[in-house]
Amino acid sequence: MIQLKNVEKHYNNFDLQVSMEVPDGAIIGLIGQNGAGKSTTFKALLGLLRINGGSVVIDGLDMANAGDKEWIETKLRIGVAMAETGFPECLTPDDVRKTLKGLYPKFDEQKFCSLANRLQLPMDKSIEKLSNGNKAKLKVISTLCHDADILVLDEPTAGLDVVARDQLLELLRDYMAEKDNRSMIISSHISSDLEGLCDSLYLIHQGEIVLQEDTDVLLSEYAVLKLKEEEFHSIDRSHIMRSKKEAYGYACLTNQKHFYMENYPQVVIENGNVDELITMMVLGGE
Amino acid sequence: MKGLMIKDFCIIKSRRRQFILIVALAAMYIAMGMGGFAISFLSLLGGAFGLSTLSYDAKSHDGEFIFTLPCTRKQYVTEKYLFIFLMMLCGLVIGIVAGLISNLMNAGSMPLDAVPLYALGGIAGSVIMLSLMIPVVIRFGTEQSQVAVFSVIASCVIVAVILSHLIPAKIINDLMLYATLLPLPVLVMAGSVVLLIVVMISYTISISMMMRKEF
Repeated sequence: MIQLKNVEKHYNNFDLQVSMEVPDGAIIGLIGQNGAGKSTTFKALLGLLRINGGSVVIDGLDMANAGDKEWIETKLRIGVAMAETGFPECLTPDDVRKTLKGLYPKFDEQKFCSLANRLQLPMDKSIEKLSNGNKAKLKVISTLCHDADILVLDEPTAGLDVVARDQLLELLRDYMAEKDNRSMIISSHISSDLEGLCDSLYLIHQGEIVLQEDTDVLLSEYAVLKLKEEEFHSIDRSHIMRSKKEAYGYACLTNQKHFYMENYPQVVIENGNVDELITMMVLGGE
Repeated sequence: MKGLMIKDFCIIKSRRRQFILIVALAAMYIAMGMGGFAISFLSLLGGAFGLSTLSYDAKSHDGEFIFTLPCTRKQYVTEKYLFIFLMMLCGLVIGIVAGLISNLMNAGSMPLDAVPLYALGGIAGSVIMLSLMIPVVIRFGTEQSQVAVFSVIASCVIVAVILSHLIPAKIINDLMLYATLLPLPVLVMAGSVVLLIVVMISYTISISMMMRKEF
């Protein structure tokens, strides 16, 4: 299990303050606007920056107290794909294969080649000459071939077309299904990716986790009520989480959709989705 | 560390054209009968190729991705020193071969017994330069390091000039004379100890800079 316990990182113009848990076998999505703190959270988790407070605990081991050997043992169990960075671009996917073979004792070369073949990734072209889609494919494939228990994926589907995105997501689902204890933390701007993949979602805004919810609950219980001005003032607002002024009246986010369906059948209710959730939580008022 | 080494060899392999430059330069020095210079210069050039792998790593967000892989910062720095000095030795070997061929083609251009001296001089010069450059490139990155390396070298020259003015010329001359009177093995031993100290200082500074780095 991964735990981020009150992790703090302070910059001149940005403060991160998050607590998260990624249980074994779970797929956790981290969502939020650009600059909300998703990448900083990933970096804190991976020890790429020094945190100012709190702790990162992986399988009971506080990484701040971990020695070199423990760090390496932990990293051998993690597969990482970062959004804007990867192997030097002068290398080819075949060079990446050789490098990973030298780094991970459990690296499965055959699997790497077979996945590259399945996703039509050219092995002999330098990364700088690959399309954005192929670069993304290479990053994901690189995480799946050393039997990692934990996947940390920052925007793994960015730049992919619909078909390639589905292929990658299927690959990730298959990988997770192979062993029960595998867990994943993933961020994406494409809400449908997360809705179909994640067990639970964390919404981060201005460096803080503002919402954590199971995806099933989010999709079944969350909704946006479209209320006229007079409806807004007369309705029971005890289950309204956020509201936003619109041309027609108010859009209100609720996590008790059925309460309003039963008690206010005349109200227009739109089912919740991740995009609506982000918009309402970020732009809506209390 | 093995994987990091493989990665760096792959980077060098992808820059084949630059390697061809070394061979072309070696051929030029052979033709010009500059075997001695080839030995010293090509060892430094080999090390500089090794050093360039740091820049390739750093191109992508200062190399943050490397540290998501199973290696520690200390291992990364250690691998860089090993790789850079290995590349320096490759350059040295090419330089020695060029020097020997040059000697055959231009009889007497470089006495054979001078080859070890040129090689030692090449190693000493390259080790000092690279030891100076590695921590600077780690600290300042690719772009800024050029200015930083220039500043460091300029500072060393200024310190040397100041010292040469402060220390009486007689003492310096006596020291130089004493050094030339020492048997070669003693001189090599003393030089090796000095170089080892330089490398250890450079390595310690590089480790400390890498440990403090945030991505």
